[in-house]
Amino acid sequence: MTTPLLEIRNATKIYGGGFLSGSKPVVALQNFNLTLPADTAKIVTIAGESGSGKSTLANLVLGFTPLSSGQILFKGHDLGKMSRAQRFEYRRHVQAVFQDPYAVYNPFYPVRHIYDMVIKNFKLANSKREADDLIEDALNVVGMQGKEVLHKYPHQLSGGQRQRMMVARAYLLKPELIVADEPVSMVDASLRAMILDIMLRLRDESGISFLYITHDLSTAYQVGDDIYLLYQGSIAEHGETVNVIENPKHPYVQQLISSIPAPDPDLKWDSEISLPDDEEARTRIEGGCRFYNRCPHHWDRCWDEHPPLYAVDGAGHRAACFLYDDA
Amino acid sequence: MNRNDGNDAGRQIALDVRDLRVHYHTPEGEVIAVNGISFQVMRGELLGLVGESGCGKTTAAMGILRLVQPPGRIMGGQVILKDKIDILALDKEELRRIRWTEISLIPQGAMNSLNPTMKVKDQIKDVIETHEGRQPKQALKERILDLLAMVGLPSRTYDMYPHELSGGMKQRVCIAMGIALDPTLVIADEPTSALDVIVQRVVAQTLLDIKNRMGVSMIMIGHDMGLMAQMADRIAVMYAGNLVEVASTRTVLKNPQHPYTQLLIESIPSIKERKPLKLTEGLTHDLRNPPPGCIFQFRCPWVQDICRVQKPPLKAISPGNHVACHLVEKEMPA
Repeated sequence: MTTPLLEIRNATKIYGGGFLSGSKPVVALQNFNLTLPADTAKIVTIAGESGSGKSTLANLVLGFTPLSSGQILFKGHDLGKMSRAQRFEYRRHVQAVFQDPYAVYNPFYPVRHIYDMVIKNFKLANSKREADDLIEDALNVVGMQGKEVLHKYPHQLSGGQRQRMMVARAYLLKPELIVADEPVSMVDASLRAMILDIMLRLRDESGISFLYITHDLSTAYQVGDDIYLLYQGSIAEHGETVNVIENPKHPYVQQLISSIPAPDPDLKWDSEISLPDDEEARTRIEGGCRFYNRCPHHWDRCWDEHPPLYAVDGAGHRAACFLYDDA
Repeated sequence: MNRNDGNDAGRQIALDVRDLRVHYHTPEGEVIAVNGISFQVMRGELLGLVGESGCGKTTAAMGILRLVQPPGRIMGGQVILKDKIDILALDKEELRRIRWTEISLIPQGAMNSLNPTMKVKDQIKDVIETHEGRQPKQALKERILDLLAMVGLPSRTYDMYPHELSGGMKQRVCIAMGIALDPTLVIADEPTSALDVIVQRVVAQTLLDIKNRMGVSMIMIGHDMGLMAQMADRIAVMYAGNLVEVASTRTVLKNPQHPYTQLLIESIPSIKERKPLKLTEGLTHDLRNPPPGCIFQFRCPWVQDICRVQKPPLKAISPGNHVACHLVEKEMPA
């Protein structure tokens, strides 16, 4: 078997709880495992609600914050042990697109600036002409033209245009992986499809894999290959996107998917749900299922042990719930 | 009577907005944020006001409440409450008196609008006592507890500070304040936008429950068509400062008439079936300088010559359903 493109092994991230901080530690991500193959490009969704650890995972993969324990391997190289030069090389291969297409631009420069910076830092071009060609090529990939936009200032572009230009910026480096952290959540609904379509084309035509971090299961369903659903720092369910969303197994994921408002007046929410009083309070850090308080099925066992991922079918669909413990 | 069919004949009008205009003054010219919109909200009805960012939906709501801040200015129109009060013509004191008692606002990101230094009980007490004067202690406490129960909050919330509550709970405190004085109309600006999906569903249930129990009218601003389908009786669609369609929720979702509404409905990502993505460009004109004719002409797939010269009026095509498009011919006899 070839070395995977990205391998995350037992990644755990704990914030706070230091000797002098006086605060309780927060386990943002616990024992997370993920493998991205090197031979086929995939869009892998990391989904979850606020506080689930999905952005922590993005920050870990991008190297913005170190792991508390575990390993992240890129083509077999440990991210935590890379030298400065290796890190620089890693940055070339792993690029990011962020949530807020308004905050990532410097408002005092025309938008061309973001491309010039990348070209300069990574010495991608030897002349202005070469640089122009590179930029034009990247813009064409996202369906834009340099002469129309490059001289403009960020405030003169729409949110959708700005976000497409960020994808073009990432594309300039011809990366192998793009970490896209909520790339469409601040883009208008009628323009989201454009960004999602670009992701699909980059996957199919340029062989770029994506870690698509989102809270929005419907866009994940439209473009994602595999999905990892996080709940309070742990994987609740994992599998092929279509299987997981059409046939969710974990009680949390079932509740989540049934709560997505259907755009159809004939499909109204059929039942009332209620949350326990401490609706968003974190449950205990060690042991026990984190969904215990809100789960309609909970047993004593769920209070004592944290359920591992159980296979629910032969196709790699797994859920972290004792309901699927056949033993 | 089945409200979902848009049949509103014989029902009382809670709010009648006529030709409301709001402009923003900028050094480069006037931005026409709300370009003469007219619609009605019936008693006990939930009207969804939808549109994308920058279309003027929040500005329209602020116009109705007379809360537009400079450089914005209300340039004209009437906002008539219960057939008698024109909100835009009231003096300051009269306006102060109808706020909270007749018309209240649950602002966007309402959970951040609570005062962090005051307990929940004191914030609700403020609303009540400002309008009704000092209240007997015990009666006031019971009333506040009733309000909290109405929005599904446990009674211990009474003595808590906002930071002790979760986002969904804070949002429900804001809803409780909004209905504290039994207003005719509540305007809720994206009341669930910052909440997780499951919490959003709980808050949405709370809002619907209150609407049904108190018979209050609501205008709910938002962009999530799924949420609108679940909650709204009728939907008003805005594009670039103009109302393009006002129709029953069923019509808007199942049989949208205006090309923009159709685009909006087609671009809702589904979790039922994977479908090819619908690609479109965004807003294509400068709001300071709207084109003559139809506001949607640059993005419309069926644009015709008349659309470039003449602005289509919002006309009734069936009872309760209004569309502003030259292509929709069947106008109802007056």
